[in-house]
Amino acid sequence: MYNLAQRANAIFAFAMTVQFGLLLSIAISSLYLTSNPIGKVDVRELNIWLYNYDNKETEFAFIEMNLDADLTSLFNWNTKQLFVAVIAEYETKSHDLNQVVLWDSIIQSKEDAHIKEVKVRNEKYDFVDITPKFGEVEAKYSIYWDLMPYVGFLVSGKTESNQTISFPAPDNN
Amino acid sequence: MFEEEIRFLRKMNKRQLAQQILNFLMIISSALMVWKGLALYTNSESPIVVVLSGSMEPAFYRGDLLFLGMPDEPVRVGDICVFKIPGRDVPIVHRVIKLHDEKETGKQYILTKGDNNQVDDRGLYNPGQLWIHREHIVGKVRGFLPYIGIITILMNDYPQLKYVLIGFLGLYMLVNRE
Repeated sequence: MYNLAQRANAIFAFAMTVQFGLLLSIAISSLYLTSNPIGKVDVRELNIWLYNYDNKETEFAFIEMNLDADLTSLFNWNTKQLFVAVIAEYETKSHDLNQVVLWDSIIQSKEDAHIKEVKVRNEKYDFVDITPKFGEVEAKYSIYWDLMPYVGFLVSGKTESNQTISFPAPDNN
Repeated sequence: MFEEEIRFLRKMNKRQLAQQILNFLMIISSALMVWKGLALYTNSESPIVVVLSGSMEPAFYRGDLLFLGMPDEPVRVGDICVFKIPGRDVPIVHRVIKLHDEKETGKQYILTKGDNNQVDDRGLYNPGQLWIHREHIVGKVRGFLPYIGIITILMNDYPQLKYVLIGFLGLYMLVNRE
């Protein structure tokens, strides 16, 4: 009646059930852990240069900023890594909301989750509007974080900033 | 090993055989129902996808399973989206790095990039295509389960494995006595 295959099957099925039960409870319980991430973007310099892009004279913004963020509280036993980015948000005449990533970093341990960077520039990402010109805009800058778990739900958020800086007139090069 | 099973198959009368086949079909149709129900609930045409490339490492590796949702609210920068480029079958899982909401039409202009890639996805889009739009997006990544999808990847890489597995499962269902 009970041969080896049936016994192995029963043990395997039970092990799978227990494992998925455990994974589910990890995924759900880590949603209830509280965290208190803080962060600040301090824009030190903003310059605009004109370049020829796609056969149009286009405004490229170059930013220099200091970052100070403490994201250590986001690290719990189900945190695999954090994706951290600086986002610029602004409104133009033709577009309600424009969001551009200026800088990013992947943090994999709690020890590295205290970010203190000076004179960061948007070297990896072009800061260009969808139209060739920014026009008269004021952008807000914030630090965005996305928590990626070992198993379960992705959680994200951003720290609000009050600093707004008007775009200067382009420098002629 | 199989002698007993074969003897059992011979012994079965038509009614028992029909019952076993019905059981088999029942399992397949309930799996299909769960999948389609999930698609309705999450409002996404494929609510579960397997990661096929390493462009989102070290967050997602090949074979990890992603659970998608299609929220009512618009896409925002930082969201990890699964999207399909027109004319291509394989969906891509990448992060939104640039976004412009047009005032008049409400149309979203979205640019994506893989966390592990140095450049944005304009090289992956169709020639001349600078943005993707809401209609290209299959869903937004909500949940994560590692490793499980490796079976799908193996079946994709070695198609014979798929038939062996399906055949074996089918046979097992037929000779199973419960």
